[in-house]
Amino acid sequence: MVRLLVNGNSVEIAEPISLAHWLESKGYGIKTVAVELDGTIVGPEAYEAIILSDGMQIEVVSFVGGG
Amino acid sequence: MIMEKNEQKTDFSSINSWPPLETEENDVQHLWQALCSRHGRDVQEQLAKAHVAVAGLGGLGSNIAVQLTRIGVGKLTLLDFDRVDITNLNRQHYFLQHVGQYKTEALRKILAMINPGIQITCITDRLTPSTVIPYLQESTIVCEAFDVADQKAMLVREIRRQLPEITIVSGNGMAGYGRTNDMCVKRLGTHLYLCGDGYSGIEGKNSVMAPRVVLCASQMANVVTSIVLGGKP
Repeated sequence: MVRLLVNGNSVEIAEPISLAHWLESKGYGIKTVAVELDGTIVGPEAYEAIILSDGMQIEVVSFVGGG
Repeated sequence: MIMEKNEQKTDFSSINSWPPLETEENDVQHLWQALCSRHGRDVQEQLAKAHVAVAGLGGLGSNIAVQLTRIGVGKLTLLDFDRVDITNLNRQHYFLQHVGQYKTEALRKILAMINPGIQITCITDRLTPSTVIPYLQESTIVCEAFDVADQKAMLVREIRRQLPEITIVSGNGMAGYGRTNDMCVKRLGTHLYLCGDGYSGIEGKNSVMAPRVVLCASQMANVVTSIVLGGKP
């Protein structure tokens, strides 16, 4: 079990997966999100390489069109 | 430029007694006095020192720029590569005479009719990862007012990455009408505020309309004001 904090909420996932895999599983668009991991912004080029591990704090903002 | 010629408190109660505003210099002085009288001198001096960038001059950006000009934010950097289209007029702060003009230039003229004392820098170009630093580094607050989802995400990511000291105020989710109470302000960390409902996009059949868009723009301008003056956004 991997315990994460996502947008301030406790979340558990069954096993360590990549950030890219996790974003896709939650229905987030890779190009339309801004992600901070433990307080630092992460670019889309790094999503595949980052493996989620216990205690990670993730902030995800999903943008929609219009303005 | 702030011109302070006298310390006397002007009586604004009988507007007919004002001297005629014949020159821009007079306008700037009178506006400064009027704003100080309305807001208080300390508040006005803080607003006058602020430098805010508005990235995108559409439904959000044009309305934000007008509101910040009205309260006397001293410096604005306006960024947009596009021209005014007639379909913009359902929500954007332009007039029929501006259709076809670059948004930067149209808005500059409009803002000068409100307060010619505001210093305005216009950048008629796209914001990309390579232009974030040169175009935004002199601002302390950036309003993310784009309309395409992946561009909004890109701008927030790149400002957080390249200019992490800048505070970002972003508008996200404002399509349709009604559902006023769904529009809210959220703070993420110390440098990012999100205004809007977070979910109403223009994907599908929803369109953006003045009431809800200007609601979001006002939220953003209000957050900017509270950042400049201190206090709860």
